[in-house]
Amino acid sequence: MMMKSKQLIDGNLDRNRGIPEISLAQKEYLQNCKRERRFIRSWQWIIMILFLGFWEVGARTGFINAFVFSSPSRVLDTVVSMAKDGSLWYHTGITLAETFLSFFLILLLGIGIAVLLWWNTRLSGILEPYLVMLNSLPKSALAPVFIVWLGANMKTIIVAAVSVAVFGTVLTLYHSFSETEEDKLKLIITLGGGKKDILKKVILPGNIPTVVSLMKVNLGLALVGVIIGEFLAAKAGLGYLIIYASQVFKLDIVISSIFLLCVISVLLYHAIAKLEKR
Amino acid sequence: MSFLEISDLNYSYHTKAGETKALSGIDFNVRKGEFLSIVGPSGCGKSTLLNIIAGLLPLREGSITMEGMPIKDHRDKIGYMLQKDHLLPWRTTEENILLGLEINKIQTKEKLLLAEHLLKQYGLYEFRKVKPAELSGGMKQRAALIRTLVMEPELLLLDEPFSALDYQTRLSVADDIYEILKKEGKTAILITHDIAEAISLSERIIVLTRRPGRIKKEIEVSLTMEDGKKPSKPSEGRSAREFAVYYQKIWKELMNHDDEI
Ligand SMILES: Nc1ncnc2c1ncn2[C@@H]1O[C@H](COP(=O)(O)OP(=O)(O)OP(=O)(O)O)[C@@H](O)[C@H]1O
Ligand SMILES: [Mg+2]
Repeated sequence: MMMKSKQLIDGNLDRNRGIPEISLAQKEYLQNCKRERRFIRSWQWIIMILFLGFWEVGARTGFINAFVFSSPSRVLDTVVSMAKDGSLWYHTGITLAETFLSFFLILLLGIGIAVLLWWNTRLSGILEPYLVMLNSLPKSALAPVFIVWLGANMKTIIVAAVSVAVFGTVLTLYHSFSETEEDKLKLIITLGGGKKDILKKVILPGNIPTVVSLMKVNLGLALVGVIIGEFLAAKAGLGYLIIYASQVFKLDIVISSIFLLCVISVLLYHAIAKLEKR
Repeated sequence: MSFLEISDLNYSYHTKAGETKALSGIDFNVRKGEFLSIVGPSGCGKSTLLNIIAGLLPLREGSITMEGMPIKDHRDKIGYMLQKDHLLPWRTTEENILLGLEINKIQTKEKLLLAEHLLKQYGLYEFRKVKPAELSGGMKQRAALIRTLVMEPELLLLDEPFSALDYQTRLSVADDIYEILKKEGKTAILITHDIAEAISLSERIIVLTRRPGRIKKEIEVSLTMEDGKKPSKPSEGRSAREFAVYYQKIWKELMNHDDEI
């Protein structure tokens, strides 16, 4: 009884001060949310610390072979010395540059070809089976062919990365273009517009959400394509570093490069997430 | 010579499944400034007829002239309002309304002033910077009407423009549209399923048969109120003396299919 009346008074006070009254249940709910979040966060940390701890201790006690599996401290040392001698920035920079270049090419080519196909229904009718085939082909199978054709250089890497994502992008965009409501096209015609106006005023602006979600997928795919390309045809970049170091059994460098790739993909993911919010 | 003359118009759709005859021997004139309604059973070819007049479908058999010239020379003088508003969701009300001007690159000062005037007149001026998702059904329909009207068409085609609205809004938007058209001396062809709407708005009503649509009956409408005057607006005309008589007549024409050839 006492509790209740005190609460009532508090509630009234709050209202008088213009602060929205928060009910007990709401407070409890918010606290629950917070607790849940803290629980998840702590377990994420615990898993990481346990993983790194076992790895490090295992490597030091000889329980696992540090020469093959490396160890967190050796990875840290390697990363620091790579940062000092500049090779970290060099190889990461190359991989990032190749990824961005491929990403923009995929976007440009994807939108361009999709517009062409939408514009010319005959062309799309003719090309559709080829696009479907190319899209379902495992693109890593093409990479060796590109090396023969283009040489073991950056061109091959970019082409390999573009080939991984461009066909899917074209098909997804083209289908999304074609599904635009018939009446919206009619509207533009009744307002005196032509096909170009339909494209500019309805098709392109109406498909911005599709393009953004494709961008999200394609940035990841471009990175995959670049690494495949670097495995086969590079003299620099993280993919090259992984292959080279594994061949000369420098597992510290291999694991460090994989660690750097993890960092890159997390950063790229956040960059796109930020873009999506806008 | 009438403002709009349509003669011997036939139209068939061709699909893989076969040929669908949609219109057959359509023949009628529209006077300048007239408000004409077309009623008919669902699927009888009403939208097809408007689509041909608007140039969305090709004119294959028959002829359509506007002020003595082939209709295709007058495409820019025809406004077409579809059943749904089709406002583009990523544009604001104002940007949607200016779409036609933008496409034709005629954003002149007078046109922009006209747009502003229409926005004010239709109570949308405060909502000009807002996206369509925040407008009510009636507001969206009015925005679609303004989008058509800023193009200053001579002939307005209306394909069930009110059917998406609730009854109240429907009456008031119909009154609004009628007033504007009369004031501007525009000619209009309205398609509707609502017999009362047709009677209250039009000077003449054309009844079509089932598919393939032919003209079954043309009815001149003239309403008088209790005081012997013409109704001042369509919603008022619904209580005119002759209203029920017209309603019966059109209803009968629509219901009775037996005497068709
Ligand atoms: N694109 C098309 N291809 C083939 N047949 C069509 C096409 N459009 C319409 N039709 C057919 O032509 C006939 C007339 O269609 P239309 O849309 O003109 O009818 P309507 O009188 O406007 O009908 P409603 O009152 O239901 O809107 C219908 O039977 C329809 O099935
Ligand atoms: Mg129709």
